[in-house]
Amino acid sequence: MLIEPVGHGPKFSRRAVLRGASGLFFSLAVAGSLRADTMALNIVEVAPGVYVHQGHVELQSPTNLGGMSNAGFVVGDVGVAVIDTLGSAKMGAALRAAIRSVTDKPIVYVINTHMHPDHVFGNAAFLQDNATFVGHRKLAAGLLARADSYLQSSQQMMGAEALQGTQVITPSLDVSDHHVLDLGGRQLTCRAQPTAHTDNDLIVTDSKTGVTFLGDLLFDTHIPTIDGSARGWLQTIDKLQGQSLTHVVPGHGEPLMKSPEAFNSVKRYLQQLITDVKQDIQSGKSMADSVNTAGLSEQNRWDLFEQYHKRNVTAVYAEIEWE
Amino acid sequence: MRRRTLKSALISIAILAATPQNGYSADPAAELWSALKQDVFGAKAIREDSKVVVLEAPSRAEDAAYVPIRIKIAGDRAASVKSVTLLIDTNPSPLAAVFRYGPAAGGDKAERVIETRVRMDSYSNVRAVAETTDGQLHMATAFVKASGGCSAPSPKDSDAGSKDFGKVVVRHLNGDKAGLAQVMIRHPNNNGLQMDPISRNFIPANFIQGISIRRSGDTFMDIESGISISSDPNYRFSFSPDWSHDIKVVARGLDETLFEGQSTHSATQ
Repeated sequence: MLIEPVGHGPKFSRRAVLRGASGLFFSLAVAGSLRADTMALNIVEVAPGVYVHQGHVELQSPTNLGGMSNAGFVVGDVGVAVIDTLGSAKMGAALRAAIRSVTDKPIVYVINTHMHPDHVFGNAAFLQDNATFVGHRKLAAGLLARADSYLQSSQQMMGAEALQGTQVITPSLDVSDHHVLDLGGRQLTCRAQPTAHTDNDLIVTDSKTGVTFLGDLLFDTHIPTIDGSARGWLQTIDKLQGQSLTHVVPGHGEPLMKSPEAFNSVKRYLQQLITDVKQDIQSGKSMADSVNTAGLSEQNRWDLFEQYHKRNVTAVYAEIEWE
Repeated sequence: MRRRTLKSALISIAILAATPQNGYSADPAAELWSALKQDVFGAKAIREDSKVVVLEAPSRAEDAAYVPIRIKIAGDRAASVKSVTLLIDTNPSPLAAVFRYGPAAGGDKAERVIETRVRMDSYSNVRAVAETTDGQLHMATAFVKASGGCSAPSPKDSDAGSKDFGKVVVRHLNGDKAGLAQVMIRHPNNNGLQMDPISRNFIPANFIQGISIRRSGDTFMDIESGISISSDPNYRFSFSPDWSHDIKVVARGLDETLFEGQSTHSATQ
């Protein structure tokens, strides 16, 4: 998903912006003990050695601590790779504790499927493992440009305490096209995607089970959010549906789904939005009016529709009005 | 000359907005507006008056980098309105735009509409102040919940940035009873508040500072615009249909680069 910009934060003056730039890497508070022991995270082994935590389909809150996305890990003969780290260092620590309940093998890779805070803000919990952070080559740029605003809105939604220990951590290994990570007895292939959900989407396929982590290229239950390109996303879905993916893990919703049919709902939503917005633009309807009508046929098909749909219309409108 | 004045006003307002005058205030919003009003309009009285001007804005913005704003001027007062100033109280640069009607705006009695999209930094009052030929100021205000729009990177796809740069599109929209046209300018409108993530420096401000809209050579409207206008500046405006539909637009960047466009079809669709 995408972070919810809510107001009433500290006033965002030009000086605050400048200050923020120099202190981008500051952690919001000095990390105390992360108290991961107090939180047991549900995990399910979706395939041998492949585990998924299913996040809540809801907005960030002081209760969920940013645990509203799916995250996973894959256990090899020599090491473990984590795929996404949830939305705070505290949730990252809870995920780490869940991994430790399954295996003592070293955590060697932390892969982020894209820049959104509910997928990367738990990264700090894995600094102690000296893991290699892996992401799309454009992840760092996208995240750093938005980091201040992500931290600010996360704090507004969850409270400062929830963010204790949270840091903005960018990949130490950039993936431009694809990269193979060896866990011993199994390999994870990371493939960078062209602009779709964001401009830094990365998918991860396990060689042993064929399970592919799609990040937010696939949404289930949770309304898709568009922070890249709706047209690009549809093209990427077409491409992925044509590949021999079998079992896929969405960024939100069910822990495991079957491709190609898993993509159908997202595809229908994006197509409907583009069709409706295109028609609005052609008939001279402005953005302000289009948000009230475009894509309404999708209203009862998704959770969090009220929270994200109009913004999606805005994004699609701004994207396709130049076509 | 006039432009210089506006530009220095833009800067001084930006500083003013970022610097609380003194520690405490019973009503910070009112105090902010009072200082802003003084800076832009001096001691002149301003009346809230929906009979002259109406402002439509979402109470909660969907995307703070693209907040759609619609200003309506009542038909019976349209011919007497010479300019409309758009302000966003809490933005780093609160003076978003000034729209000045010229002779080609005509003297008809149809309602006048101006639409654009703005960036918003935090929750704020948005104001449209219409000045009539008798020098009086009439205001409409809307409160909008939005935040983070000024530092939001643009565009979403970092590789799509330079496509069509500088292109100006002028479209006639449903020219049925009243004329309605749209001007779109492909320009990032960099406001100096967005960071280049690689160098971690701020991208220098370069925005469209002025737009001249003409109908058959006569001025319909001159727009002076600041950094609060969204990237790919987008304006819609109504115009009296009893005049030429031949619309020419010249936009001027901060670096004085000119971008030009014109309508290609008459107002039918």
